[in-house]
Amino acid sequence: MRISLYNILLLIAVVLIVIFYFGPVFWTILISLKPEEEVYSIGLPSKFMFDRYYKVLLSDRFIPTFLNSFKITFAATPFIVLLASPAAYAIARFREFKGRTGVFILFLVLMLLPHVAIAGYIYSMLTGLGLYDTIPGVVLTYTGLFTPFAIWTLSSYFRGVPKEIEEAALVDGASRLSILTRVILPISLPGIAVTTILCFILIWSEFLVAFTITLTYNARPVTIGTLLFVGLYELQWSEVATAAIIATIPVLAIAFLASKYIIRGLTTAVIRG
Amino acid sequence: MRKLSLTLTPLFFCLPAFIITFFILLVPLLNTLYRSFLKIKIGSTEILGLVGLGNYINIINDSAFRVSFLNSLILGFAGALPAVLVALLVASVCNQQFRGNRIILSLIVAAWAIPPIVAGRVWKILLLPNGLISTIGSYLGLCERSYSILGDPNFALVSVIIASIWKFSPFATLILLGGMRTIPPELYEAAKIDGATFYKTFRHITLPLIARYFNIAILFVSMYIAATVDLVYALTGGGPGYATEILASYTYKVYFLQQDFGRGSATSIILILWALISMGPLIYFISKQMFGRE
Repeated sequence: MRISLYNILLLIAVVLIVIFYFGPVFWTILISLKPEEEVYSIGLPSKFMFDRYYKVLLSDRFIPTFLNSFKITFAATPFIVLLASPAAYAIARFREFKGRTGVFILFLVLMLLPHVAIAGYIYSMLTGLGLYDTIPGVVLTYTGLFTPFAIWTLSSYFRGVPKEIEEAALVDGASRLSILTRVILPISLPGIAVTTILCFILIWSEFLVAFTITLTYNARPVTIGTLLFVGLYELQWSEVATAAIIATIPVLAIAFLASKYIIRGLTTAVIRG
Repeated sequence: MRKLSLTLTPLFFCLPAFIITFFILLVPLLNTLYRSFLKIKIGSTEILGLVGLGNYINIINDSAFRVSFLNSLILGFAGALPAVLVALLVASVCNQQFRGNRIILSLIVAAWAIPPIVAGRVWKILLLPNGLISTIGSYLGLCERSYSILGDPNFALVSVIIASIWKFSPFATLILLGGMRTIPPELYEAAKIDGATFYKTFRHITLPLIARYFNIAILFVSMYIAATVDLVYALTGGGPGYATEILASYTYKVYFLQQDFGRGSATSIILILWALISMGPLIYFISKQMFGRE
């Protein structure tokens, strides 16, 4: 490789990018491994406190929220994909569906609604239904909040499926529903996988709505778990850092491993509509 | 019969998604609108009477609201534009052919996946007095090591802006990168044969062809920044005073901390109106791409 101005600039840019995005995370990991009294000193820890990770993870202030997040995410994501698939298919492919632009726009508006603006009434509804501070209540809420997003990503994927395949099935007299379940869904597995991953990440990261519709370890997810270290007990920044890192590991791992598919899924949604 | 099924089938397909979004999103939206015209007893849902625009007038006269409105404006512009410019740089770098560009891209996706509440915590730790950033500042002779950056009203807002850029630029990067990948490689090859420099290629091929994605990215990011309470909550809690309060976090405070459902609903509606300003063109772009070619 020849050394040119282009290569030097590229190298500098790459280094700056890595420092800007991962410096802060690296620093947080470093803090999480330091003895608490060294949190305010610069430099490597005098000894690495790896056991803090066990301690924080297994503490009764954290582990219930971590498990809740798994329950909530694994319960809500399949619901979302199940509810969103037929709607996305109708929007993407039914030429005879006159109002589909309007329906699509309605779902986009609902997708982009600031959650804090409707959280108050969701709280009232769940309280009325007796679902306040329960996992079913959170799952129900998240299913509603993120279904429009799944409709968006799925419909953009379905639009890319070759029309000939479904036309052949239509000529054979198959119903729309059986085309969806027997033809479209099987060949759209990559798109469904991407939507599932994206929903998983969105749900795992959600904080504000969960904060308003839950109160105890019954249903609080891990995004709130990262906070409980503050307020109830004396503030230990090393533990706050550890909790933040543990809470992020699942989504970070998924995002890193599936990055190729996430990029494809998101860019398809943005480019194809 | 055939005609009827043609109309009914799409509705039948959309019904499940309609029902759930109707109850979780539309009903709360309409009820929030309704509640915004009511006087509701603080700390309860007991309706004391219809006050028309009373709640709105009440809020507009609240100085904390005006500060948070201004801060949302500042964040929407001073946060979104640099975030998308950073994203443009990162996307251009990732779009170059070099060993390791896949890994950089995977790191960007990982950065996108970091929950906003964690992003707030990470930056809080960086910005603590005697923390990393004030220490670097003290080496450069800018401040004392013990200087509390988040305790200073001016720098607290700058900190929120920088943390927002950090959190939201990866998403913009993915949008821009998607746009860059729609550009036919032949264009670049032709430019190379003509001897165009890197800058000229970027200026005359890449930029014009990704302009639409640049707009989409700006709209998305300014909307996320203005609507995300998590990051502000974890980083500054809106303080010191109201220095970093934004419309979204102010809404949260009025509704849930002051437990004033009437005024809280009115702020919610103002926030939604605010979001509609970015939402309008964004939805126009997206739905035009979805149905435009038919």
